Amino acid sequence: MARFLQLLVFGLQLGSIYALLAIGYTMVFGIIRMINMMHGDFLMIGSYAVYFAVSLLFGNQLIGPAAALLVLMISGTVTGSIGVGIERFAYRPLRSRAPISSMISAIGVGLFVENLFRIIPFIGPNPRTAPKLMADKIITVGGVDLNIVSIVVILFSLVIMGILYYVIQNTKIGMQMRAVACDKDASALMGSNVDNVVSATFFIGAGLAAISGAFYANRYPVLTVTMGATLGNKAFISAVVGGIGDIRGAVLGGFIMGIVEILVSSVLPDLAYGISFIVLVIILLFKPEGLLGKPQIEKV
Amino acid sequence: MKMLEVNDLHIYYGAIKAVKGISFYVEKGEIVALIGANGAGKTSTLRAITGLEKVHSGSIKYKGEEITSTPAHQIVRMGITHVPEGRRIFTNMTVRENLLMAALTVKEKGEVNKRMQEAFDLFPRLKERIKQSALTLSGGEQQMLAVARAIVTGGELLLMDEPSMGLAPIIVDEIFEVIQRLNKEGTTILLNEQNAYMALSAANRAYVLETGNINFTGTGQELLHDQRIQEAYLGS
Repeated sequence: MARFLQLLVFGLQLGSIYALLAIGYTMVFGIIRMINMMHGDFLMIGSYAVYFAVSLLFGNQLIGPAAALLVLMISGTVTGSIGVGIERFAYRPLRSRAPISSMISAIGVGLFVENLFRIIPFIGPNPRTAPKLMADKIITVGGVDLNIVSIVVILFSLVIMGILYYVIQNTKIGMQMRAVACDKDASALMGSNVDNVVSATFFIGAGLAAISGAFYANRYPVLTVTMGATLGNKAFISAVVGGIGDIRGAVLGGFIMGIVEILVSSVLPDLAYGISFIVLVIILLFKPEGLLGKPQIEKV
Repeated sequence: MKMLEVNDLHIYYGAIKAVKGISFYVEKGEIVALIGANGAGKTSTLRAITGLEKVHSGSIKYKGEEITSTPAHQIVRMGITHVPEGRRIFTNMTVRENLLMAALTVKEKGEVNKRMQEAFDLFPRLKERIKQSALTLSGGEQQMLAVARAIVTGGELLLMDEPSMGLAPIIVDEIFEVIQRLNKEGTTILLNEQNAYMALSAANRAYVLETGNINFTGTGQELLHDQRIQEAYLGS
């Protein structure tokens, strides 16, 4: 039982990482009906941003919680801005075309970003070791050994998701995001600057991916320029399992993926990734619109 | 000075010419109707005025100011409100949120509440459904919500695209009463309508569009009694 609880906490930790990444997929899809195939690369950019922020600002000192928070914010802002730039130059010109155009553009951007990073001398093709934002510390609660980092990651992610949900439901920009997701022309007619709203969505999505990357690097500290691809796929599956377009769905899907992966890999380590896809297929067989997705109703 | 002046407007969709050089104007305080069959170019014209459609050539002036290439979100701030074809309400939001979205350009909170109250006075049924998802509204209620949104947005010139489409006759009457009332209270109205009888009865002046050209123009009453119009649009 103690072992199960331990695995469950690990699963929730990994799930937080997937959920933060899946939110970006689902928000972008919700607002411009596009699958941003390179979204996983935002995670990679974010974890490199953490690496550079820490080495430039703090050298090799062990950093405290305040510094870690600062690094997260820097990484989120840098990655968010890159996300805004990518949307501006690679997707916006294609917005009025068939959705497949911007999807292909996204694949191109992903390849471009990965290979650009490979040739930039101070990033380079070799893996880097990410700095620890938080030292591991084991505490024992009722006979279960828990890593304090796991707890912090899970709680911090839940807080961020809570804030995001509040922003979307209760603020002007959140209301505009929901309106633009439903009808761009009608939103523009009410005075909403659709381009800015889409930019804001990319900023948030890429920024959350960066935070997800920071958490991931803290757990598995090997940075490579292609690390985003596999994680991006898993997050995409999470978003689809939960019901793409729905943020709560992305969170639920992310946690399901994380827990399933950890539980499966504790028994059959080689099959974890494959099992994730099987879970996807089974859920979609019974609920094609995802767990929280609503079937599309059109009223004439 | 004319409130709205459209001059030699051309709108193309690739090789298809939807609007081929139409010119018309709207004076302050008028109700002007554009009537004509499906595909005559009425909707494209309204969409071009509010910046949703790219203009191939020609000019659109609002209060003497050139707005031909002004983006939609700025045009509404200049005072043109557009109720688009097919209502286009936000079905993922509640009735109240739809109205709040319409109040995006309204700075003062007191003013927002006042205008919402005005809209509820005209459409009490919306007030009953204020917390309901807009998706649960009937077609007529959706049109009421679309008009209510325009009331909340305010604006001096109101463009209405097919306000009667798909609605029961009793609701059509209700919507047209509201349109005429808004006009009496000072809003200038440009109306697209397939229901020519309804449009001509309400309008001061009207233009008849046929395949991208304006073929007739006159006062509402003149056109209502014009034999050609009667044969083509009024079915008599």
